[in-house]
Amino acid sequence: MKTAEVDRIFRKLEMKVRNGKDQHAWLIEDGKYILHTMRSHGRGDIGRIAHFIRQQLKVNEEQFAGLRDCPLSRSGYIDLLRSKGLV
Amino acid sequence: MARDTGRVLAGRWDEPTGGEGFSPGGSYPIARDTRFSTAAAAVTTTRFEPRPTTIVPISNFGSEFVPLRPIYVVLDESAMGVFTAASYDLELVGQGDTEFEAIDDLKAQVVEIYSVLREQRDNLSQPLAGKLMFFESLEKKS
Repeated sequence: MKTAEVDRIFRKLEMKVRNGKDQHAWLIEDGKYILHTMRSHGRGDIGRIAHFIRQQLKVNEEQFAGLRDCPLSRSGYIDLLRSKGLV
Repeated sequence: MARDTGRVLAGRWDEPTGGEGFSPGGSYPIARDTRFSTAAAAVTTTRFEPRPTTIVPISNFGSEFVPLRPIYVVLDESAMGVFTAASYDLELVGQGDTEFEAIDDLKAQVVEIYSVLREQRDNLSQPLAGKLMFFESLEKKS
């Protein structure tokens, strides 16, 4: 998975991105910080970090593919988190 | 025993003490290329094989965050030679070209995340509030 694909997920979910040593992304809904994920700067392929990003986003492989390849929207994702009691 | 490592070196490898293959309690000799006889060509790396997953305690975060007890980190190496340091308690992972870099990356994340969680104390979801409580339970008040 490429960093550009991760950035696209961050943008699609309208995550608040904070740049430090790494790029930290926070999902905020109705003013509440819901979850956090991150990626490092400057690598083309993020390797197994993708596995951790998926876990931090609380989705399974299929749902993660949906986030990456576009079918799963922000509102769909929020509904998913709500069904898990995370929102 | 000849073994192609798929890396720069391929040649004779000493077996870990205590038998064939990976032994959790065994020691791992340094890989040594014995194809070349001249001193200039004989290369000794600082690379150990196999690289087992390691769990290490981390307590020095180089910041005001001084935990009373260490955070345990799982150190691993990917096929691409990138190291990861993961805390399953904190759901954080650092990465780097060396184990130390991966741990330093994780430490920076711990400090960053803890800072944001404290700033946003009143605006956290239940899971993040739980994470903040966990951080605070670790912290040593000076």
